Amino acid sequence: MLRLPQKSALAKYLITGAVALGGVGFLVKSSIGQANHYMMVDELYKTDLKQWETKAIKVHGFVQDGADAMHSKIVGQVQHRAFILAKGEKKVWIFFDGPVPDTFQANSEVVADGRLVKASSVADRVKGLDFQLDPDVEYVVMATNLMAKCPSKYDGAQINRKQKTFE
Amino acid sequence: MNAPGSPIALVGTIALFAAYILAAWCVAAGIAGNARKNRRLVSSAVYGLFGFGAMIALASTLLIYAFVTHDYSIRYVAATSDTSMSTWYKVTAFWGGLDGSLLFWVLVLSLFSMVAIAVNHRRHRDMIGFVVATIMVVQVFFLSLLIFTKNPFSTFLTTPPTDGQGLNPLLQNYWMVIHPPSLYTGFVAATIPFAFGIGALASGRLDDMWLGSVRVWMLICFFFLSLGLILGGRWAYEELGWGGYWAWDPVENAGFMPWFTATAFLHSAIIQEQRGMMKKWNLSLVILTFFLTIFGTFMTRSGAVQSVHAFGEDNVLALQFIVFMALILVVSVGLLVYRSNKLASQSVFDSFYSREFAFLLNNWILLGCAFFVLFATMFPTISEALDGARVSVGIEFFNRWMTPFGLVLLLLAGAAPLLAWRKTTRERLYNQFLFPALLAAATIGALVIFMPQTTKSTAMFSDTIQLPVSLINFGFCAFVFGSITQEFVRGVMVRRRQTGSDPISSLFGLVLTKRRKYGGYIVHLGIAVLFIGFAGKAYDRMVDRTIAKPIHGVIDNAMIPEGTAVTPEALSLLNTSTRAMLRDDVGLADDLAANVIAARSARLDGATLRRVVGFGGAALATVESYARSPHHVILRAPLGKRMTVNAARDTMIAHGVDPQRINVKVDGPTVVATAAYQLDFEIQGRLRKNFAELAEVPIESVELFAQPAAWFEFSDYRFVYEALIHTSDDHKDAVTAQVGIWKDGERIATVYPGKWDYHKGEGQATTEVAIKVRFTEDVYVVLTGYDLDNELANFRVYVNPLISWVWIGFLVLAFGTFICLIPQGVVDRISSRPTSRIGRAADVGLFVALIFGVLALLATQAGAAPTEHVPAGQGMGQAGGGFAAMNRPANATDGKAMKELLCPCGCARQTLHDCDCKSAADLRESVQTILSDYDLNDAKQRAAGYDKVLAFFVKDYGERVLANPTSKVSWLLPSLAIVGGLGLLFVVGRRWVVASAGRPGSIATATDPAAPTASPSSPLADDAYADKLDDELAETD
Repeated sequence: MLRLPQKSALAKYLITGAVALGGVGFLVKSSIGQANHYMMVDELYKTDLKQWETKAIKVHGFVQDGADAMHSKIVGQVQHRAFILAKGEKKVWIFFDGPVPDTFQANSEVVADGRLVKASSVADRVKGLDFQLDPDVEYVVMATNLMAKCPSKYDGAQINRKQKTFE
Repeated sequence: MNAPGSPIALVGTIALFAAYILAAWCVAAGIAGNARKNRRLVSSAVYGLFGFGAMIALASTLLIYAFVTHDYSIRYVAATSDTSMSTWYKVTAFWGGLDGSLLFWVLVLSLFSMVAIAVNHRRHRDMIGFVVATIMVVQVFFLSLLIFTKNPFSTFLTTPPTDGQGLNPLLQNYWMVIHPPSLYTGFVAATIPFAFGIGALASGRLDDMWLGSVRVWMLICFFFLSLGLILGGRWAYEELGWGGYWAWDPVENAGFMPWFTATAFLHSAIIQEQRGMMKKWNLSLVILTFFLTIFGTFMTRSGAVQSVHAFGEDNVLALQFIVFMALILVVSVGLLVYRSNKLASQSVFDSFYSREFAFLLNNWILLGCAFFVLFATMFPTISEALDGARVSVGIEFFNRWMTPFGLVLLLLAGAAPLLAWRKTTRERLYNQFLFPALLAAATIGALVIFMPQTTKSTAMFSDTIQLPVSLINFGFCAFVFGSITQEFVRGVMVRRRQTGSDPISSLFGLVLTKRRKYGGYIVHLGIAVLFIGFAGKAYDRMVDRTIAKPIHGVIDNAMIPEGTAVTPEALSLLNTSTRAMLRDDVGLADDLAANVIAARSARLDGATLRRVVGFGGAALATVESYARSPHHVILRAPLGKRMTVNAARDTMIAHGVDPQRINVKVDGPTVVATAAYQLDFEIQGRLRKNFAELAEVPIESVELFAQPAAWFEFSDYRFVYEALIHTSDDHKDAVTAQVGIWKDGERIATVYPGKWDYHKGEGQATTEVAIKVRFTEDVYVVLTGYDLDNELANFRVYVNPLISWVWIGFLVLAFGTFICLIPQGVVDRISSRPTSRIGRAADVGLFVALIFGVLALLATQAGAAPTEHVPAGQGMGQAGGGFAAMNRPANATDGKAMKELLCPCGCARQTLHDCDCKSAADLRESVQTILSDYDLNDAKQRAAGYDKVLAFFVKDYGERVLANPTSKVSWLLPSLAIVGGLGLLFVVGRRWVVASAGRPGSIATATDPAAPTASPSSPLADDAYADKLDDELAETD
């Protein structure tokens, strides 16, 4: 009689432990599967680009200056844009139809949220925007959102501004 | 830390030091007093706490005084306020930055602890010393941050600036004034239960006495956390312009985690009261709640987690927090283990069908939520630490996990009140669950039949698990309503039998005698209402549209049905012209465009259209959106004797153009006639011919073109872009679009989304959202971009169903919490004076009035009109009172020029755009005068005008008037001057050295010939020096 409750207590702990472990395991697995990777443009090119066709990424870089690097056209009330994000020598084309941040301009720091797609799949867009992609461009980013990097005037902004000058 | 240079700073710093010493004394005296049972020591700790409060109040008052009196010698004041801000925002700038917010924390905690100690120090004499000591350890921690690293009273070593940098524009908002204090109050309130918990553990007085005091404070903590979270959501919704109210941002999550554990405690405390169980668990929850408030602060203040609105990275602060958190854990867990033998449960669980089991389940889920939020928030940090990859999880990930947790909690909110303590018999189960379950089933059935869109599936946990979440959600909400209503009805019936009074009196009596129970039920109702609001999230819709020009002179009836219907007779005409449009504007191949036109004119459905056209999705979408966006037809003819406004209008009417859709105006030497819908091409051709005849010019001189219309349709609404308005006040420029919203041919609202560009905001604009609140949904319009030169505007529109229920649900929740918090004394006063019916009626009336007063107050908070939801020109601060608002930029070109030119008044290198002196205002006018000679719609003219302005200013003031010198030569000149000056100095200096070597003991007294070259730039050099010194000192801080 005395051993029964002990047994059930042990079972309780075991079941609780198993459920908790299982839950945490599932959580970790699922978070890794659904994670959104954040990279500077140059870091992006150090990875195998193919894998980003199916995963969400955030690409961080500087908006490149110059008439060849920024295109925009309004078609049927939708403003299509293509521009280059650069970090050092590395560049990636961003295609985006939504609103740009207030601070968006040449050399401003931007994070583009989206997916990598084959350059061939945006041929129509490129044509619509009246420009040509370099033939060696293999992938471009179809962005769903653009964020300005640290527009804030909080205390942190000071520190971030300083970091920026080192880059 | 710097030596204070202003009397306010000096006294403020002294007050902080005095408070620090008092706090240290309180810790020592409190612990020693209770440990040695020395009542005098305990009393001295209690009085010390009040003295501490006085010192902190003094310091806070001084800081606010410094803000109001513009004492910019204090760095914090200079960094977070400026002279042009309204007094109200100057006061709230107190908590607008890190240093002040820490002081604000200490202030609120000292106020709370004074109230808590004043109420409890007689009741808990043998542990109050420990309680005071615990509170004061927390205060010592925050004060040490304040005094040693983040002193809000630190002053400039160099010359203080003449004006401050201003508060972040995003914080200059009604909701932001009340949201942070509220969230802080919730955070701070968690310290009091923690202190009582530690006091009980330390003193060993672990009977249920402490539980009562702790529960009330936890309820206050719960209330303010809820308020803070919902106000934060409201702020995000109205100020950030992304259409939502909750984004699982680390800062929001920091407030949410203690909310979960506080809620868990409020439930498990009831089990301890009723059954004497879960004592260790309850103490753990109290400790955990407090720990999470500190951890949340650590997360957002130290930069451990990246967030849009987290404060900056600060490793020193992070280390201080880590040490403090370790101390909390070691001491509290140690005490818990030390006293664990006194914390044994007095009973065990009897059945799964019991209220305590439902509460336990609720606790596990709430704790699971807190853990999940913690994990997902820290995920980027953990992942970066483990393998260096910077990853994050999005809103979607949070929603997928939190939705099922939330649904189970919602179900429990309805089910737990129906269960009995210990064990619910089968009969009672049936009796209690029948009505709510039927109501839920009926609701689900009705929704499936009448609103099939509610059956939409949403992914849970991962993509593979798809559930009709909103249907389940609405069913559970109905279940909660049924359950709570049933509880109220049954309670009232029992009370009527007992007292024999009428139903209304019984209801009041019932709620007042069992405030915690029925207050709690009202909170559950509020939760269900909140979930109705959450369910709307699954149905929100969003669109981006760019409109090239507004309709000038509003044509109210520009509500044309889709204008693409084309008669077969017109097809031949149509093909050439529209085909050209599609080819030129859309970039489609000629034959493809013809196919599209043919398909649309035959009114084919989407699938057939796709087949007929036979090309890919992207291009089809383009054509579809083109077809969806209607066009204006515009004719421009030279003004003439016969070609007048009236003649043009009459001609159009004669050709059958709807008179209400005509807009004719004179623009320079031409008449511009607009038909605000797509006309048959044949009519267009005839109009053009007639206009040419009237004007007596060849037909080619009459321009005929179609322009994408100034409206778009979305989600059964039509949005008409009517005007782009530019206004200014003393510290911001506002660009506001006027947008008419139409539904079913009726104009339902005129809204004014805008962007405010603060003069001191460093190019950062705030988005002023316009929201049309409807009973079923919000129509949320954002001006996402604009071009003042050509009046182009980018809009983003969200339609958010059911969102109002989120705010209403919170009001219900707040009301329930308020009922729970009514003290016994108030109830006694109402119920214990049955002297006369009138007297009693008056008391009840007073009480009812009080309740309605609270409700009304909450309602005004919820319904407070957002400042931006007003016509342009309103919602603006004082204009015309200062020079800053005079001659503000009227278009992009003059704005650009004003930002490029420095004000010659000498005020700290401010541009004409930013400077608020009179000369800046006059010079802004000069800029506009020069530009008035140019046609700014033309890119070449625009550039020429801009160059002319700069040339004019450079001629009068020299190159130094340019904020960024334009050419390489302009950089070369000063460089050459410097090199030349250095060369001269070298030559002259050498001569002196040689000369003085020849004449030992002589001192060079002659005027330094190099000095004149340096002196003209000296004021600037001083500024540069000051900047440098500030930067250096900031780094040493």
